[in-house]
Amino acid sequence: LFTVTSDYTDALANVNSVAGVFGCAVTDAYYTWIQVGGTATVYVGASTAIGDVLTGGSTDLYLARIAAGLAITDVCYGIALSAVAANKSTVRLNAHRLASL
Amino acid sequence: VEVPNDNIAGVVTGVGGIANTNDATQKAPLGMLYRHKGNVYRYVLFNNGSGDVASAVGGVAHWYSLDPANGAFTVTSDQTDAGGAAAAKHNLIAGIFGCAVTDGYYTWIQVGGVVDAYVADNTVAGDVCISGATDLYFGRIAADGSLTYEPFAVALEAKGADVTNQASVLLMGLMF
Repeated sequence: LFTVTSDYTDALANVNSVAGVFGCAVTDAYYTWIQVGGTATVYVGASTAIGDVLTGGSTDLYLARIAAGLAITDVCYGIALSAVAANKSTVRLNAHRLASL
Repeated sequence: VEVPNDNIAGVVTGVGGIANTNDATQKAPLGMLYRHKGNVYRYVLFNNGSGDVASAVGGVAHWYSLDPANGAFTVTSDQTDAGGAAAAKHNLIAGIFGCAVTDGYYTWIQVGGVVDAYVADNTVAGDVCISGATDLYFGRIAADGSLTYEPFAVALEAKGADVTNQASVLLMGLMF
């Protein structure tokens, strides 16, 4: 079983169970490829800046932000390569965590 | 993929001199990963930044421009140019330089395995190596300390144990 959800409240392990990034609007119960490495444009928290640590968040579809230099309290799934614009940033995904490398 | 002969500057080692790569022209796909002798390397373009910071063996490389979809894999030795703009930033480490690369040339940086790298003062075995504010150097979080930056390596020995200002480190989180 490799089933992902867009519903944060249904996640297996809350903020620390990010699986990857959707590449399109997937129909419920359909199959897709999610991105688990490289760079991707991702929904991120407000005020995200370059270099920020991105973790799972409690908002559906969004990664949360921990400003660089603050205590990292959850698993880091990506690093912001650009400041947030229109709710999204370019993110370098941490493949070693998302792909279990 | 062209990996240079190891017979460079009179030094003959085993097969492959990947660490000494200083290509004036691109000789491998940018961003490509290559496993060699238990380590992993990525082929990149080098930019010495607005500070014209010379790269060096064991120096920390930061991402200057990273846009795989458009073939951009450019690293810099100038920490304040990480992310492509002159301002202090963290968490954008790309890998470790294997030689002194010429500005605007291509090279393989090490992104996996064990390497001697410049580390912060007081680094000892087990410390977490993070991005720092000094060009070419890792920052440091002592083992058992709270993580405040993404870890990119763990020190395997104290600073200066074998190489001045460097320590052997195990790289992590640099492949994607």
